[in-house]
Amino acid sequence: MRPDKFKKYLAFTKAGILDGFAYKFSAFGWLLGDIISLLILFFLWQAVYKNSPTEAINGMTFHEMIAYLIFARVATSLAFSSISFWIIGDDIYEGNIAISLIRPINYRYRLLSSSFGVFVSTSILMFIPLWTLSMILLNIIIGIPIPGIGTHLLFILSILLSFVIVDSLNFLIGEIAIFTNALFGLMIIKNITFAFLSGSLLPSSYFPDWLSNILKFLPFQSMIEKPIMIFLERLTAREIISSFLVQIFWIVILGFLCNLSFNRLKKRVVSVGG
Amino acid sequence: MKKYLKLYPYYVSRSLKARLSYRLDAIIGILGFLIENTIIFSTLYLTITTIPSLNGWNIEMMGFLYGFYLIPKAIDHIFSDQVWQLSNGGITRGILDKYLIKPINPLFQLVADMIQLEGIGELILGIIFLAIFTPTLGIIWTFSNVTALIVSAFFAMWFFFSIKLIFGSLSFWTKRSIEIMTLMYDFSNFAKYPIEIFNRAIRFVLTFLLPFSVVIYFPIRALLFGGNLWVSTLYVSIASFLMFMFSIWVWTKGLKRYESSGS
Repeated sequence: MRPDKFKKYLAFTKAGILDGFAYKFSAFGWLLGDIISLLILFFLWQAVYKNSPTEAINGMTFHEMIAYLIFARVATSLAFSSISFWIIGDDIYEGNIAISLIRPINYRYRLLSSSFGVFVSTSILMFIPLWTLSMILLNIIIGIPIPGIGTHLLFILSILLSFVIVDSLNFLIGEIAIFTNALFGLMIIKNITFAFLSGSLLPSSYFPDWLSNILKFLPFQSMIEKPIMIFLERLTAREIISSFLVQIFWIVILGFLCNLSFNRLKKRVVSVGG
Repeated sequence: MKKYLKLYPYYVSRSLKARLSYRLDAIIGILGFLIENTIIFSTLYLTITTIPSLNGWNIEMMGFLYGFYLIPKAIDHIFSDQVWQLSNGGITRGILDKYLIKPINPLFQLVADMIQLEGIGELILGIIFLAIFTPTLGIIWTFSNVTALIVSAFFAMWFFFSIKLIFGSLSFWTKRSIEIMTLMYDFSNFAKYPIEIFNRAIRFVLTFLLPFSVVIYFPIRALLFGGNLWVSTLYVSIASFLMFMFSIWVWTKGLKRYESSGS
């Protein structure tokens, strides 16, 4: 991309960052809500391990499990911060999409840029403070080691790729808005399905075999579980490389699907709009 | 009173017509809550089945408890979802103005304004769970315990409503309270688990301050572990009644402070 072309999209990223900052108080409010689910998780798993005849369940001890769940919860808030679903949904609902089409801007990249802005503001406002806090607390209380700078970089790269995958999926699902206005219902279905399949609620070692086998052919596991496992240093170098390749593979495939479906959608919009 | 009983069906039919004019939307909304709760329960299932039982509660018992939890929550969700609008900036948008100019109780109008079909998803799932897990638990249904459970669920429904109204009404003072309202409402999630797994502070909150466990968990524990179900039902009704009176008090206080947005 030429630099001036790139600049165009940068403006949307900037706006996205500012948007994210504008809603910081409500973000903190929602964060408070997360505390409830973390508390429940903690006590539930404590009881689960107390009732377990073995010390490790599915290859993880209580401490490892708690670290996994807390990191997964915090990482999810970042990886799932994409707002493309809402932008495209609202644009279709309000009819703004027609205006967007006459602008000399690729609509898909514009949404990705806006979402990336929110990604940046979420990182600064919530992710970095919470992640650091979790890391320190988990280190002091249950002795989870703080990984080195290399692992950190690999993790950041991995979560960034996750974000692009999530954003592409959000875009694809947001396009359904052309058939229905039930964005809230769609969002609920989408969020819980992503959370479950990505390993945000439970690592996939808990899944039945048939489900694990299906998930090998889908993009979800590379969204949360793989980055966290990289961070907890539970993957070998080989596995890390293959997880990056899988993520890039899915970014290409989903990017292709986004363009394809959006081109079809455009035709429909034109025919509806007269 | 008679006036309201006569008016309510009109409100319901008007709201249903509005909702059903977008049939696909309604179906997706219902499916949304159905799928969400199915997945949350599946997660619980995968967790609990790795161990023999959770403090004596096996997965069938947990499923039964989950099902019972969903039913009062769902019914409240269907009938009083509009209360969320109070906390979501509705006060500053002036949504109450249209209620206050009519010679009908504004709280009645607020609640009757919308039937939220989404809640049907939770209701269906709650009934499915009770139906699935009842046979394996070997519960002997008698007229007495069925009645007690229905009475408990009825009062628990009012409990959910009261919690929503209390924290929704906070908006009269704070203009916006959806975050705290969500937080308090989400406290109900604790009631899906045996209270014994939590620490003292949380147990105290769940028993005395926000007694979700009293209205959801205690009756089921009494049913499954041979406690006195009617005593639990009495506790449910007392907790719900007190919470309801308190919510009406907060709402009335708040309403007196209400000023229109002015436009």
